[in-house]
Amino acid sequence: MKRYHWDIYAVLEAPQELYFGHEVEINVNRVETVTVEGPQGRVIKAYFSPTKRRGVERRTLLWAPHKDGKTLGEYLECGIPATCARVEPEDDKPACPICRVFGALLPGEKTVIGRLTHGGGVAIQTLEPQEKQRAMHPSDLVRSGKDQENPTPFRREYNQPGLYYPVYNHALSVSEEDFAAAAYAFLNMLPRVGAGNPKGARILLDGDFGPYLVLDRYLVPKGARPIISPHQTVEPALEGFRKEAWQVRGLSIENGKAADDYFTRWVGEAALAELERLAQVFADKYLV
Amino acid sequence: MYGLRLVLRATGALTFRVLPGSILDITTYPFVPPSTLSGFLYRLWRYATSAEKEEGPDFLETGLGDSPFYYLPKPLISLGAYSERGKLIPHRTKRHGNKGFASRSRSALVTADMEAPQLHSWEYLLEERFVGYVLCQEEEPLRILAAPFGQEGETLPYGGKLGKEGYAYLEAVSSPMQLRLVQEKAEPRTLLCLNEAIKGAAAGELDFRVYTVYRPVWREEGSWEGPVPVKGFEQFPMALPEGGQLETSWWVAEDFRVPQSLVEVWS
Repeated sequence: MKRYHWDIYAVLEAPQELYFGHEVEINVNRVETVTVEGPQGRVIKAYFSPTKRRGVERRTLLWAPHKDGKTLGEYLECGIPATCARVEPEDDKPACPICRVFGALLPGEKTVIGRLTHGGGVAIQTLEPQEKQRAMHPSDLVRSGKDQENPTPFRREYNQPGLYYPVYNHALSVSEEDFAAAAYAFLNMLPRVGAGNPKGARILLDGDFGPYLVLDRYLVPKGARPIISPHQTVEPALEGFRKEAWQVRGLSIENGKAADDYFTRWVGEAALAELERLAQVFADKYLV
Repeated sequence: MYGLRLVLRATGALTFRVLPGSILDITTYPFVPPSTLSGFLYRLWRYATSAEKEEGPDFLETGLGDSPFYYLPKPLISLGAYSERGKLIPHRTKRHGNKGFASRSRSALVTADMEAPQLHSWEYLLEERFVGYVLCQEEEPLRILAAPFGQEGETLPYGGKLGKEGYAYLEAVSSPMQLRLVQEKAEPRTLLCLNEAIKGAAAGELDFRVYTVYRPVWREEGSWEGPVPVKGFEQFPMALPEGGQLETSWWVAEDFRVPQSLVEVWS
């Protein structure tokens, strides 16, 4: 199958608080933050590290339900950190769609270069994390006597609800069949991000613009890349994304799509529909 | 001498792993090393010149053992890419890794012997733009390099993997510029030869840090096709300025200034 370059650009919104672990300091679980230069000087921003998102995406594929009742990872005999690195079919086993796009390592034997790279993650707003007091409670309905278990309190920082995270996935020279795994992973990563509970993010939705989502498939990059600067704050950032999403050299976007022989862009609902179609290509081939 | 000025835009955090390094402490150079920029540009050039191929764009595989080296042909001198904002402070954080690669326990849904993770320190650069420099004695090789990245006077934003983790694309590529040799005092924006940096510091006018960088050892010149005939890479120390001025000979053009001695070292 013909190979293309693919890019996903999206702005994710966290509908609730999220924990992306950094380190533990005197009994407080800290989230990862970054310090960037903003228009008003140095600011601390919440950070949804691309490497964490990549890990969730890969596990989403490893844990995808295979029709045999196993996970896809069990069926393919692929996992983390022992990847199978089977980029072509061997014996009675199919090629591994996960290693083909995410890459693999058999120490001393084989390296498969990953073709999918993750970017973005610096929150748009300058809302700093907040420390919360939580407790793990025993599950007993009735507690009595001196051996009773008590709640275990702990403190944890959380990224605040309502933060927007621009995220980007870039796939280099992969076929539609290979990219289908990346599309499935991207869509199914969304409800699973965040360590512990609560989990989940969604694609930011705006009444006029629709979902903040752009999908490019190309041989020649003709579209403006809707990349939000880590230094920007809300309105200029979202406005810039909307403007660049609609900006394609020599082509106009109709019904959310612009295409010629070298470049195709889907914007908003059309991008979501195309990612869903690709995810189904993956599911049809590997899951059902 | 001719030169190209490039602006690279990163889409996320970048790590250019400092070597020799530690397994548990992954640190980054605060610039795009010259050898990294050369390989990155060569791969983008291959993408851009293979767009008409029936099977799609080239993807250059590398693996263990006799891995080929992909690099710009020898006449093209890559000097790396640098932030224009001065001294960068990398974001430093912790990451969970693995001690071994033999088990699948880290991704098993149910397991009795989960392998303990190993904690790494990891550095990332959250810098949006890097300005890169490529020079050549002749104009033609620079034209060959720049031609597929431009259309109607604008830069096509070809992108690729850059460094250990990240992705960047070309935001701007200049036309080949004829460079002039001038002797003057100016603020350096690129790596410097160690002896010049020390002279600048001794004059009380320059701050710098020393990094070990790697340059190719060539068997022969190499061409635009396929891997380059490089025996390997040799390490040597260079200085990265952290403010101040230096009196030396520079190759200059508009928005372009690199020390003559740096070009000689990488030729």
